[in-house]
Amino acid sequence: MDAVDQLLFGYRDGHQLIAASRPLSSRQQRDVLPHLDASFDQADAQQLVGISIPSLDGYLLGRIWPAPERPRPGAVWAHALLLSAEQLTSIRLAGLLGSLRRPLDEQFDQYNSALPLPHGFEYTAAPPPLARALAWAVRSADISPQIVLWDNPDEAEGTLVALLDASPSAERLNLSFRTRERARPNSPYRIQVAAAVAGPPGEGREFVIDPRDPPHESRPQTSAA
Amino acid sequence: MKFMLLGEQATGKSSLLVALYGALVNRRAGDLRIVRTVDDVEFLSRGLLAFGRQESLRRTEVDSNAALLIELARGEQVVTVDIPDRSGELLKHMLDTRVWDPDLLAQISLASGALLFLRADELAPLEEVEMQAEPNGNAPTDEAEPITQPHVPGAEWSPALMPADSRAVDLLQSMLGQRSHPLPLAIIISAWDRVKALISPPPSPSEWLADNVTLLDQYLTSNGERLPHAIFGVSAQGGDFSAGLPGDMLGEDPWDRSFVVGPHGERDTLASPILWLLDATT
Repeated sequence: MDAVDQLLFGYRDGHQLIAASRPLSSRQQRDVLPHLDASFDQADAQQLVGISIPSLDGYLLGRIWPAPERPRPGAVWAHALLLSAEQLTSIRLAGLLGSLRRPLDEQFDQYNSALPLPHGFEYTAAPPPLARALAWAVRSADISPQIVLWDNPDEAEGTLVALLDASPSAERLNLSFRTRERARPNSPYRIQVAAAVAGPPGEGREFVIDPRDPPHESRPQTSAA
Repeated sequence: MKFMLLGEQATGKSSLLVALYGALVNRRAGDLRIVRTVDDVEFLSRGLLAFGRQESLRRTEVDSNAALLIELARGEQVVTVDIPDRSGELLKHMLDTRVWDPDLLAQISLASGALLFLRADELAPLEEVEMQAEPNGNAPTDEAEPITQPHVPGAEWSPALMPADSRAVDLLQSMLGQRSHPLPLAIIISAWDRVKALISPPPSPSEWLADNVTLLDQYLTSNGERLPHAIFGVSAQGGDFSAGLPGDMLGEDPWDRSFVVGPHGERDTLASPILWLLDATT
């Protein structure tokens, strides 16, 4: 309970598990892999992902970075924490964001043992229009996946985890999210925060919330994808 | 018609799609014309821009849902071609763990044909190619070893350690086990510019496969009825960007640099593997 398992994925003859504090079966690796891979246009960008992984009986909270130092163009690093159901409902999740670290200088040993749970936490609040949109997306009674458009999706990270923290325990496993450059239709995430939507308009069943130019009503502007 | 792209990571799947798209929209595809694009082609356009800057494509992420989905006309015939571009890591993981990827499994029975990608410079080390190119006719002093995964002393054997030709045969065997009718197969030997540059005269792709990927060649020959096939050499980039393109290519557009060599060594258009598949399925 005092430590959380961690996983590191990176490019080594393919994007794969590089280090972990616990063994993963082939099926578990396959289930995790799509959530810990990404495509980046911006070299200084990052993506945050949170989703329940049933085959691991836990919740994955991870961050992905470009890895331009690796030989293959488009290579990425991904560091993820694997929270048990008990940890998900009993610890202050906001403190975990500071534990997500990109590897440096090929040093992977630190990822081979469980990470002590941090004391205290740092919380960077999202700009108010974005925070309102995220809160509305989380609380929406509509079960459709939601896409929140925001030019700098990284600004949503702290608020997404804070909203996970604030959700009733029974609902946390069902709250999945991802920040990315372009949101995808038919993605497995309940909430995507992105600067744009990929693919032809109207392909997906997502609700798009665009708080970048908010109307005067209290509710963010919405439309079908 | 749906065609599967089969290949592990960095075998040139996305590069061929980008080069093919460039050839189609710039009328370098012989009799084959593009009627319209059905799906998002942003990744293809971005790929062409990268080729224009002499940059290799970024790897395809694991959860990518990109595809080349276009309507093509060949004379009076119009056909919709759907080629999903799945990440090579999915196939690698599947072969390593011997567990079917659900999407790939679903595609097997639906696909009209497939393109299987192998890299020339991984299957035949360049030093070996250079030795074969020696004009003095002397045989190389050592038999070149096929490329395998690095052996870690004490490590247990696993499918991940199989050489590339064994993995290709393993994949085809598994696919035939899931499919009752023939699967037309275009074998794509990518990075063909490396072979062309280092062997004089260059072998045909069929000869090259028989010499360098013996197990796969024998398997294809033995299963010709269930796996009707043709072998193509492809250079989607036209050359090695990291080493610098030859001077005569520097001013060329990406769709003029890329090339395909047909099964018997004839230069052909980027569309020829697709044309062969269309013929093989009708």
